[in-house]
Amino acid sequence: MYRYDEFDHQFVRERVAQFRGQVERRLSGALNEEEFKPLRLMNGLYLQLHAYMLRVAIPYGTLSSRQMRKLADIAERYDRGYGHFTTRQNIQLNWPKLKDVPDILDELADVEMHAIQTSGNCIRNVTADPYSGVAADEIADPRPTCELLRQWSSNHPEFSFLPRKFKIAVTGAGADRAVIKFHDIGLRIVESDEGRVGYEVWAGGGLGRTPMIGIKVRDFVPAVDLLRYVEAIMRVYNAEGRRDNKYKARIKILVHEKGGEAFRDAVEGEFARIPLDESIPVEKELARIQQFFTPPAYETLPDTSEVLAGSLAAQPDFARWVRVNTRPHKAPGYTIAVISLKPTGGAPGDATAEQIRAMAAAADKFSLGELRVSAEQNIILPYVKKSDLHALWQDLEDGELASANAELISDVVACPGLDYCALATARSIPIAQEITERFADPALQEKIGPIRIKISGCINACGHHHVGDIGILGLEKTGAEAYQITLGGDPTDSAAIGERSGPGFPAEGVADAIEKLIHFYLEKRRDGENFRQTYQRLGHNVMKEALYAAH
Amino acid sequence: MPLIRDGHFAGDDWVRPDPDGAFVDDASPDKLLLPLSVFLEHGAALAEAGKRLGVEISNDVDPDSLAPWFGRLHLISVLFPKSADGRGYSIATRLRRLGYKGELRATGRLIADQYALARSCGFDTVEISGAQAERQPEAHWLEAERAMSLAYQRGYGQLRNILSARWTAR
Amino acid sequence: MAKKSAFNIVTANHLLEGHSVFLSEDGWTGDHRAARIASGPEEAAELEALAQADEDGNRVVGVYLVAVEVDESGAPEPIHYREKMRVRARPSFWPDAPKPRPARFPAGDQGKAQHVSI
Repeated sequence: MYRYDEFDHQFVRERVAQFRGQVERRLSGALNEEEFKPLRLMNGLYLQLHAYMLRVAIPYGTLSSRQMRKLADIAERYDRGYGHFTTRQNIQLNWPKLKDVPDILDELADVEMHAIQTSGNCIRNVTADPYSGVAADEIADPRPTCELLRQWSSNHPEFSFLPRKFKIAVTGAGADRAVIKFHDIGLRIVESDEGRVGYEVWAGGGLGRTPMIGIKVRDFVPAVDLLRYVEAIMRVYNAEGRRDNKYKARIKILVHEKGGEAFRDAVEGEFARIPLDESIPVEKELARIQQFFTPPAYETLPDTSEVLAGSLAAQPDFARWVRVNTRPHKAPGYTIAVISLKPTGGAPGDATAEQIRAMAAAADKFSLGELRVSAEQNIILPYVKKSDLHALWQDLEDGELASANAELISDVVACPGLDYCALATARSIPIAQEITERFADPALQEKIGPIRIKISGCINACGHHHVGDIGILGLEKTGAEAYQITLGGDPTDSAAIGERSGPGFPAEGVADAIEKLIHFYLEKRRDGENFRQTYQRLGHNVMKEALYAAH
Repeated sequence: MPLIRDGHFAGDDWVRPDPDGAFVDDASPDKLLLPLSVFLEHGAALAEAGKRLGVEISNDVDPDSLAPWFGRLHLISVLFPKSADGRGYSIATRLRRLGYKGELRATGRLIADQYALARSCGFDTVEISGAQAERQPEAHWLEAERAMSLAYQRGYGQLRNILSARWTAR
Repeated sequence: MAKKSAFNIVTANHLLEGHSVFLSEDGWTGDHRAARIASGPEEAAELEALAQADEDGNRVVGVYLVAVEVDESGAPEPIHYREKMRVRARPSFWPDAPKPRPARFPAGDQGKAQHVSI
């Protein structure tokens, strides 16, 4: 993974000192809250319902065991002993004090971490496929591109006060696991017919209040042109994005209102007039960054492991965990392991300091010291030998980290909601907890098969409910929490926005409705169908009826 | 109104003429900062009368439209209606890339912490309100200008460029 | 729509530490039940103005009024579920635990806030 050089180190240290000075000036009144707020947001610091919240960046979801241990440490000494992994591959601490934040940032800098631009109207964490570098279907590792963009977007003088936040995602695999069609800019690494590497560029996708699927802006932008092309998009957005209405200020609105053709023309026109800087080609810097992402020295192993086969036969629980929580790996004899942060009755994505340390230890023992965070709020170990799986599983069991539910019904994605968030209109975590309790039985979960349930506690959609097979949106109705259910969302290449099913449910009615729907699906599905397939075959109207059917 | 130049409060001899006054005469100040419409209407005459001209634009003006007048303009002032409104940074960047060499001023709602960004985009000076200058004295602007010494981006001014530094070191 | 009430308390977040605080007779407190109750719109406006002075003085941030009902013991309880959540000072699914230590510091004009070096 990327390692800072002296310049990266200096940059982050100066940034921390800068923020320290800003906090002092806030406390003295030289900066009022209106002036301070964008500055603290650009250093990842929110003010929420009960406390401040610090969102620490985990660039493209990759981190080391050393960094995990530091996070555990910080959670214990400055916070309440736990962290929350987010739907954009970051981690949140929910109880820091403003006066401690500069010290926290300094400690993060010790391990090459920061909270730069994890909030604010600027370019945010560039996210990637959590299986980058190891997925069996990977064409090219997207992370060097993400790192290049991360650096380029850090403290950008022209693009730090955009109309609104800006989110970029990159994929380099056959299947898009980075949700590029729902990002402000989505990039897919492609190869031209002549064998040149470049990017398919999407723009104008997003969730939130007005979900929209992005448009393809260009089929192929050569790698050497990437930064200038992104610069062109940013400049068009900075100049023309709406600033009159916070809820109409994302680039998706601009693309929609301007029209795809006009938007493309504007971008291409701007791109054509950005001077090409000959002295330091982007390709050179990309190549330098790429060196940090060369595959590790894999052992030469047979693809099947006899050790593993023995354990699978002996222990059904372990066999289930392997069946559900591992993913195909490029290197023979290796596998990708998913550590679920969705225990029955738990808050999705939360991990205690102890659990974080346990995962760091597991990474050291079994994954060459490296971990990933997925947008499903789980942790990935990318370099696990199949022969090590049983030992890994045993360690995870000790830490209550071995739920065998990756991408199954109890792998619920939920934003923090009204339990934490000042923007929320309803609670999301208790809904997730109840759903995981109703569907706790592992055999039932496997029977149901892969299904995405995503819960947002308000219309800002941080739980990505629009792209859930079942999306749950918590709103307020006549002084009480009310939950709308959407169906048929899809974050992958076959992008789709979920459709509303009907009137909302009270909190105590949500799990019942979901149960009814699932039982209807189990009844109606044909052999081998998953939820999504049954939904598509039967259609929205038939499926939504099941939610409201009398018992 | 207070002007910041090179991290210090400086004098400002540019004058925004009274819109109702007659300013096309010898008694009026030498350096006139004009609204865009006035500049377009009276600019030629004023230049001929020996006035040095500046134009003040709102942040939705297309910078390319000023290019024909670069030879006549000694100052372009870009208005910042809110500190969160970053359009001025793109305007400045474009003006510099078009070859404008005169003074470029960011006027209105900027805070000290935006000073370095403004400088990197090509602004020479920042003009703020008196009230703001009281809350954010010179020391803050100087501190803010020096807070970051490195920049990742190429094509902008001021700070030491990290990519250049990397490749020189090799 | 939110139920209107004649009664309000005023709340904010402690600037340095972040937790919710409520304006009482003795200054800001973490205990909403000790909050000063404003009866009617004029008193509410006065209370809000008092609180705003402390926001301007950089002690608290995000001042706003909370509509409350007054229980038999005379203590205020928020009406809206969001504010009920907020006075818990912790997530709804946590077991009952002591709230963060209330910050008590005098309200009102105490002169200019001290410069705090951190």
